[in-house]
Amino acid sequence: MSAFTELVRRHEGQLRRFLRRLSGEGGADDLAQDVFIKAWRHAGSFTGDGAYVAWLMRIAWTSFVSQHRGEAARRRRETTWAKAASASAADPDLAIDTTRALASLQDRERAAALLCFGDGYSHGEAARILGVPIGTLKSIVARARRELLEKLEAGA
Amino acid sequence: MTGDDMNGEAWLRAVLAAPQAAPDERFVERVRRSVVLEARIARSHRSARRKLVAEIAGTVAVGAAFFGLANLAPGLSFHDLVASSGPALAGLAALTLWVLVGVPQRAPEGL
Repeated sequence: MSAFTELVRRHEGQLRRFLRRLSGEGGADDLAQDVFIKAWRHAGSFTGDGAYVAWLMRIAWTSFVSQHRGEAARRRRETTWAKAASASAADPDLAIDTTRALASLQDRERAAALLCFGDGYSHGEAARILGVPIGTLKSIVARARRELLEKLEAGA
Repeated sequence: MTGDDMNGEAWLRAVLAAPQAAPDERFVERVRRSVVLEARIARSHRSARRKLVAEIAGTVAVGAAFFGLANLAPGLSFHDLVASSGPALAGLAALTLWVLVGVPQRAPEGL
């Protein structure tokens, strides 16, 4: 148990940050907690093929997708993002602009941007985390990059 | 990829880079408690399943014993059979039940 607690201590920051920026809502910490419980429950399925944190991020992404599946959930999230964006509109801080720019992306584009630009994952690692072929991932990242730069430059 | 593209990408990396922060011990403790609770629930489910299996096995064993005894001697009525060897059968049935149902469950393991 103490070894697992150490893993939580080591990776909770990155995981929670990813989920918070991905979902833009307060339920991110609850989801992060669920992710760690799933990781503990299925610890035997971690084969050591890749980093443990990448395995956690994969669980986080699939948990996020299954939690937010459905039209009603999507609409709720878009409303939350819209509120976050409008609340931050008057703030000149770059981080706020980033929040607004991220809000304009689709879930998968946002996740890919956060993984590749925010956390420094390679395209191969990010593709494994998001469960898409690497070619698809590269297209998603390119689209996310283009849209983010457009939004950030427009807000500058 | 042009130089401008590279600058744009480097800028995005800088903007989206995750800040280094100390672990949030309150969150770590929250997860630790959840996992301990989860472990307790899993243990109690396992224990309940084992007990259910033991009780079903005990019931089946006793039922099978009665069925077998009732068919041992076709010439004898069940009443005669029970009258002649009733105490032994009752003792056997009680012993079987005690062994199968009363087997002490393994004590929960600490994490």
